[in-house]
Formats: sequence, structure tokens, C-alpha cells
Amino acid sequence: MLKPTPLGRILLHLANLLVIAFFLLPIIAVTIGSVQSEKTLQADTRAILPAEYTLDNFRVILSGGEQKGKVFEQVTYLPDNIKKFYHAFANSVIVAVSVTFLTLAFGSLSAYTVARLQYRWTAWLMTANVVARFVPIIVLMIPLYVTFRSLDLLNSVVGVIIALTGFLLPYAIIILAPYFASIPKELEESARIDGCSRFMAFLRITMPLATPGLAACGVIVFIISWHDLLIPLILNSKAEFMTLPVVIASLVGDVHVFFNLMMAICLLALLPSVILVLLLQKFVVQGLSVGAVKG
Amino acid sequence: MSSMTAAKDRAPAARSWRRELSPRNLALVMNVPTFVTICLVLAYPIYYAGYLSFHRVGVAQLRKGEFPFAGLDNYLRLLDDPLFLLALKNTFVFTFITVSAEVVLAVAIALLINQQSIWTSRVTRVLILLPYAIPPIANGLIWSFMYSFQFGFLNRILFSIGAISEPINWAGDPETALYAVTVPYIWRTLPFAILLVHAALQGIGTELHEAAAVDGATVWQRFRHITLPLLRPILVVILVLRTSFAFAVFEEILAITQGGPGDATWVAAWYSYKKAFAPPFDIGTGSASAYVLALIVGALALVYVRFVYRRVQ
Amino acid sequence: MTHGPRSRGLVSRRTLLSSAAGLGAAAGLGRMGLGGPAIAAAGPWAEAPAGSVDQLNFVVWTYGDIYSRIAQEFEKDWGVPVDSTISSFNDHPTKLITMYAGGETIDVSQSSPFSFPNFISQDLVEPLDDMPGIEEYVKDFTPFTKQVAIYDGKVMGLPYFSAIWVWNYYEELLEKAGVEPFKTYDELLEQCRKAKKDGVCDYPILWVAGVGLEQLPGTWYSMTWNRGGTFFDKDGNHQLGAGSVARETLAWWAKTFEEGLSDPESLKVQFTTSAKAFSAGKNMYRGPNHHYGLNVVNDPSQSPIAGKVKVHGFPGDGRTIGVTHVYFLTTANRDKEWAWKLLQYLGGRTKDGEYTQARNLAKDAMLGSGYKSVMESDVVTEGWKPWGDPQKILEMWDKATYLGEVVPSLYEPWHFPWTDQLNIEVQKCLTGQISADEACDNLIKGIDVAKRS
Repeated sequence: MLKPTPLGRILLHLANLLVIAFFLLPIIAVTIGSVQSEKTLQADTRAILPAEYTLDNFRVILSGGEQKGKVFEQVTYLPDNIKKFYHAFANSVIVAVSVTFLTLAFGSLSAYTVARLQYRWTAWLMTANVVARFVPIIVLMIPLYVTFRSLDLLNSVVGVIIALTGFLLPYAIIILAPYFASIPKELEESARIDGCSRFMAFLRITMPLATPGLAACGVIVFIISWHDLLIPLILNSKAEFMTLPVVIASLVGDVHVFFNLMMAICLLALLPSVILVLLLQKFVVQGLSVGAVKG
Repeated sequence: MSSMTAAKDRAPAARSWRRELSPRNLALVMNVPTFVTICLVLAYPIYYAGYLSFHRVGVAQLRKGEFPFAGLDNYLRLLDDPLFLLALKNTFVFTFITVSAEVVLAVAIALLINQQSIWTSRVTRVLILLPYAIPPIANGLIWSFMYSFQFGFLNRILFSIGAISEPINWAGDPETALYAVTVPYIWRTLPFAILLVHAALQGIGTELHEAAAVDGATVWQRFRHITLPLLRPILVVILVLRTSFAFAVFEEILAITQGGPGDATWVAAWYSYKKAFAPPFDIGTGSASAYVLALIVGALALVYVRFVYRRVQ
Repeated sequence: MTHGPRSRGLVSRRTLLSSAAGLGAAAGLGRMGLGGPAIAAAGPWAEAPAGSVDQLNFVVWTYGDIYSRIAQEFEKDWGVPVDSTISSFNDHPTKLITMYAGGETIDVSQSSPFSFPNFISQDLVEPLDDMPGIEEYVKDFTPFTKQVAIYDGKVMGLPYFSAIWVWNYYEELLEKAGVEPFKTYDELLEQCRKAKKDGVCDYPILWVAGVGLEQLPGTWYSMTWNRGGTFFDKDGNHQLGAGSVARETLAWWAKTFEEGLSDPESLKVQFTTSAKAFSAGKNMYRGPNHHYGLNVVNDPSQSPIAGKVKVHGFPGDGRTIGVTHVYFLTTANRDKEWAWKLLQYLGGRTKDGEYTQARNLAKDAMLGSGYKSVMESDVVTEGWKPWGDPQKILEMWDKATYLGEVVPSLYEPWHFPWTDQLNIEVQKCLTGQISADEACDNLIKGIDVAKRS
């Protein structure tokens, strides 16, 4: 790149500051919102920083409503779903982990056939996957609700896992297929000469070599399933099957809602995915670009 | 989990039974889990949504399990409903704004983080993915705190720097509400677009730029005549993908405005959701409205497959 | 739907009411709840049902931890665990209906008076006339409760809570503006204009005009009724035409927004959120809404202006509206006798013969009760004192009419979808996008559309 002029450098720094502020603004807002009481928030509606800090919002969520702290001690109508934080967190983890695992397993099998065993129908399958990726969840919601109702899959974590796996499989295959295609065929062929079946060669040679691809695909699938609201919202009506996004959404319509409590639960819900994304940044970047254009 | 172990068991068994499966059969077997799941969760529901959209489906019909044929009634009712037409219009406006803003911002920010010699650009580069990690519903709620008229964070900032003396009613004013909800959506989905442009920029060598600079081309001329043409394919990818996803925006609407004030932010997905899952639970009409959405997005998907996906390397 | 012509439904309800009012013993019997467990424990509420169940469940909207407490008490008393599904008020109908349509077992659920006829028309609600002890309850029902819980002559539910619509004012700002609480709507406008001009506050009134079944609609209903209007007459003809009170009220209401007297936040706030927003101390008046908002604005742990908010009645003859929300036994129950037992823990007496839930709700949350005996007891007359003047509120209570008289359409299943449109049209009017005339004309057209769906 060409060296910018001194004035250009200043402008570029300013532009960066602007972009950084834009990206961080909501994170700062949610953090500040979560460490004060609603009373403090109302008392001065113009100050950025609260006059008084408290961790009561987190305390009440993390203690399952047991420890109300000073802020909530008088409160008689704490939203019930707040108390189900751990439960919802566990459900979210179970859903995201299972969906990631199943999607990678099914997706690898398919992606391998697309990349290696090229037939006309595998090419057709790939096209179908690319089209399927466009299907908005809202279109699936209604028929999924009716179908899963007749299959007795409503109100279960399994139903959500199946639905999300199916929804994300096409995307996973789109990401994985180019990775498999990029692994040299020769390695597999030499294993086959040593008496390995094609499938064993896939398992023992190709899969380990595709680890970066699996990681890229896995982290993206994990994030999407961690974030998904509509599928568990529609398929489950019982508190014990709620995931974190559903709990958060349930607070939106709550007429007794505590704003700061919502900010705290939002912060708790976004932390795991933020940490994961920042740790696995490289893979997310690869996965997203491979998923959009053929790698 | 079980499928994995099952697959493992299958392989040696197959070998002992007859050396091994032919590639053709192996390909079939290896695709069985995908076929089953996709048929159950994607193919059948999409067909079934179409079926439901031609039938009368309410709570009573669900309990009985009988859906009387309704012909085109559900679709005619949609066309007759000013709210649906408004929701479609709002969806188009929303999509147009978000996608154009994203393309422009993505190019600008990707160029910015490409500046190796500017240290703040490296900081920005680390933060680019942050919004991608935020759950959409949490994003919506956070922005509803940002936008709150009375105690919102944005107004607090503007008060503190003395930019306003009266609070601004960002999401509560029907004139501005639809624009207000585009910002959180752009914020959340921008990383994807930036990443793609950034990756494409890596493929553009510096030689052309240097040669052009020697010939006296300005920064803008170099961008206009060298960078932009080379970015065009990836911009088309972003355009098509982002357009189709923005059409189905839901979470930010749910969290920030719930369609309000009045009908200012009713969008297509919100309409389908309210029709089917709020009283009076008109699942037939809900399906019909979702199908309209699916057809629009489906057309975009075909464009993508036919003209975009294969061409870009 | 067997409900037939509107008029018949109304008449039958009326007749029942007057006959019930004729029972002079009602008030006396009502006191029984206060008589203590010794007398009360002998009633049918203390007897175990014949069958056996391994669990029971209810589907309700959230209200603090009252449901976990009552479920624990039920299990302690009868040894049957209770499973609960709790969603937010606005999501409740969706949740209940999706569960019902999903073929799930639901013993007991809950309804606002707005959705109740819709639920009844979907065959979701089991009549209670044959249940042991029902006559005692009906005798103690307040008039509101009778009007909601008795449908086409059948008892369909037990009361959850009752509320009336009242105004609130913030004493300090009124003093600052140098005015007494308004006595006419014109005076209100004048006070607000002056306060805004003098810089006392930017937005003198905060209304409860967020989208909902009784948030925004309730404000319009209550002011229309107070000015002498209704929304439908006895024969079901709408009262929204040119020159109607409802139309004039809406036009007046929209003017307060146009002149910048109304807080723009009004269009977002619900019951409690409006009380919280009012707690910021930025408005003189909080528009008419459920009386128990005082429980938030005058709570020192939640409100920076606690203790300085007073309750204020409607102008003129002071007439206002009220509602009762109900618990009901669903047709998807697992065991009718046991479900009835659980229903009583939510909306009636516990094993000890006390109205435990109703008394706690009054004492802890300032909710009114659907039982006369509870309304007359010390949980109200003493229990409400920390937040507002109970005597004053009870006087307003006497001037309250059940909302169904003002808006008879709420007995119709189509009232629910029509309210969706009402929220949109009125918000568009309040934000100046359409006139009150256009809004009402659109709503008149919407009646037929809502009936079709």
C-alpha cells in the first residue's frame, strides 16, 4: 500500500475512532445499563454514568431469584423467567453443542460426497443446498409447528435440535465442501492402496486434515444455533425447554419488565458467543467467506 | 452422536461383506442422514406451508386435524389487507436501506482496516467480528435501551456533549421508526459484509495502484478505476445474500418496536408471525403471507445460484 | 359459537346480575372469609377429590413469584405436584392457544376479560356450575366479577384480580405549577399548556398508550365513558360515527399530543412501565390506568419520587371503568375434580378456607379482589395504605362500571382481532398521521373484517 500523507493519517485515525465507537457503543450501553438500578436510571435521565453502581441485577439472575439484594428486596413481581437462567443457559448449551455436532457429522458425510464422489446428483445436491440456505426461518415456522405437533416433537429439546440441524445443514455443507475439495486426493489414494476402504480413508485421512474447515463450520453453526430465537420460541411453550434467546424475548412483552435486569441478562447471554468468536476469530473469518463464495 | 458410531460400525462390516461399497452406493449411503433431516425440516415443511396456505387452518381445525380446502381465499385476503401491503412496502424500504448502507460501509471500513501503517486500523480489525457474536434478540433489546425516549443511552450521550436540549424520540416517532430499526440490523450484520470485502481486497495487488499513482491518479481515481471494478463480483454476492436475509428481519422488530408506533414498522416476517401465532391464530393466512416472502427470496436465491455463486472464486 | 345475537347475551347477563344482587345475604356470607379457618375449614374446599392424579398444571401470565408460592402450598396440602407454564401478559394468549392446539393437557389457565369470550368460543373453557362450593363463591363475587365470569348464564371462571381506572398526579410538579388537580378536561388542558409554557415540565401528561388489549384501548374507553359515551349500544351497533363521544374524545386526546403536552413515551408504556416512567418525575399527570400503578410509583425502593404521587378521580360525575381478570378450568384438563381444586387455590379458597391468593395479591401488590369479602377486609383498607388512600380509591370504585358495559364487543370473539386494528389506528391518530375521523372510519370498516376472520 502507498503511504498516506500526514493529514491523511490523522483522517484515517479519526475514521477508525468513529468505527470503533460505532462497534462498541451498544456494548458500552448494555454494560452501563446492567450495573445500575432502575431507580438510578430514572433519577437522572441525562447522565451517561450512573450515580450509584450495583451488581444486584446479576446477583438476582445468578442466584435464581433467591438473593434479591437491595434493589429487588421490596419487589413482589420479579419476572419468573429470570429465575430460570441456569436452566435456559444449559438448554442453550445442549442445543448449540448437539446441533453443532450433528451438523458437522451429517454435513461432512455429504460434503465429502460432493467434493470427491462427483456425480450429477451430488452437484444438484450442492445447488439445492445453496438455494436452501436462503429459506427464511419464518417460512418454516408454521409448517414445522404443525408437522412437529403431529410427530409429538413439540415441547422438547430434541425437536429444537432436529429443526435447527436441518435448517443449518445446507449452510454447513456449503462451507465444508470446498475444504474437502482442497485436500489432496493423493493422500487418500495412498491409504487405499494400503488396504483402507474408501470410507475408512475418509474417516482416518480426510477428516483429520479437514479440521480447520470443521472448526470454521462448527463455530459458525454454534453461533447461529446459540442465537436462534424463532425455532425454540414456536416449538416450545414450557419453561423447562426455553433457551436463552426465548427467555430474553419473553421479557420484551413483560409488563413488569425491569430494564436493567434485561440488560444484565443480555450481557450474560452474549458473553459466551463473544468470547468464542474472539478466540476463534480466524476460523469464523474463513468459514464466513468460504460459505459465501466457493473457496 | 449415534449416527457417527453407527457409521463407524458400518464401514468394517461393509468391507468384510464384499470388499467395499461402490462409490456410487457409498455416496448414497453417506447422504442418508442429510436427506432425511433436510426432507423433514426443509423440503416437507416448505411443501406443507404451500399446502396450508390453500386451506383454512385455525385452532379448531388443528384440534380436529381437518383442514378444509380454501382455494385462493388466504391469498385474496392478503391482497385485501392494507396492513399486509404496508408490511411488504416497509420490508422493501428496510431492505433497500440496510443493504445499500451495508455495501457502502463495508467497502469503506474494509479499505480502512486494510491500512497496514495505521495502528488504529489494527484495533478496528480486531473489533470487526464483535457484532456477529451478539444474539439478535439481545441486540434488539440493547438498542431499545439506546433508543429509549426518556432514559435512552443515545439521548444521554447527546445531552452530555450538548448536542441536544430535548430528547429525541428515535424509535417512537412514526416518521423515523423504520429508519431507527435499520441501524441495529446494519450494526449486527455488517461484519459479514466487511469480511468479504476485506478478503477480496487481499487479492488485489499493490502494483496497479503504485503504477497509477506514478501516473498522477488521485486516491479517488484509483479507487474508482482500479479497486471498485475488482470488488464488483464480491459486492454482488453481498448484495444478493444480504437482500434475501434482510427480507426476513424479525428479532430487532420484536425487541424494539413490535411493529409500532401504529403500523410504522410492520414488516413481512412480523406480519406472518402475528397472523399465525397471535389471536385469532389464522395459520392459513399466516402461511400464505410467509409463502409470498419465500417466493421473493426464492427468486433471489435462483439469481444467486445462476449468476453469482459459481462465478466468484 | 353458540352465543347468538349480542343482545341476548347481554340481557341474560343482566338478569342474572339483578337476581344475584337480590340475594341480600351476599354481603354477610362474604365476611365468612374473615371468620377464620375454624368456621371456614368445614367447607367443600377442605375435602379431597375422589380420583387420584400424579400431577396438575396451570398456564398463566407472570406475576412475581405468586405462582411458585401457591404451587408449593398446593403440594404441601394435597401431596400433588403442580407444574406451571408462565409467560408474559401479552404473550399469554399465544402460549395458551399453541399449547391447546398442540394437544397438551392444561388443567387451569387464566384470561383477561378481553380474550375470555374468544377462549370460550374456541371450546377451551369448562363451565363450573356443577362444582362443589360454586354457589358460595358466586354469592361473594363482586358485580364486575359476575359480568366477566358468568357467560350465557354459566359460571365460567373464578376471579384473579380487579382493577379500576384512576388518574395519578405528581404533587411536587403541581405545586410548582401552582395548580390544584384538574376538575374538567378543559382545565386539564389549560394547566398543561401553562405548565409547559412556564417550563415546569416538557410533557405534562404521561398516558398509558402502549399497544395491548387494555393499555391504549383502556385509556380511550375510560375517557369516552367518563364523557358519557360508549363504543357499542345494546344491539351491537357501533357508536363511533360522526359526532360520537368516542370520536370527540379521540380528537381531544390527539390534540394533547399535537400541542406537545403528552409525553411521546406514552405510546410505548404498558401498565407497570408507565408507572416506572412516571417515577422519573418528569410529568404532572399519569393518564387513567389500573389503580395499582401506585404500588410502583410510591415504592421507595423503586421510585425516586415515592410518596409524592396521589390518586385522582375522573372529572365530572367521576364515573370510571373497571375489570376483573379470571382463572378458569380448561376443557383439556386431566381430572375435573382435581383441576377444580387447583383452580380454587388460584382464584378461590385454599384448604384452610382462606382466600389466600386474593389476600396476598391485595396486601403485596395492591390488586383489587373479585370477592366482596376481600374488598371489604383489612388487606385492602389497611394493606393498601403504603401506596395510596384506600378510602379514596374505594369511593372511586363505587363509581366504576364494568368495561363490558362500555365496550360490549368484548363479549364477542372478534373483539380480539379488532383491538389489534384499534391499537394501530389510534396510535396513528395520536402521532398525527391520520385524523380522529379517519381513525374511527377505519375502525368502523374494520368491524366487518374482524367478524369475517
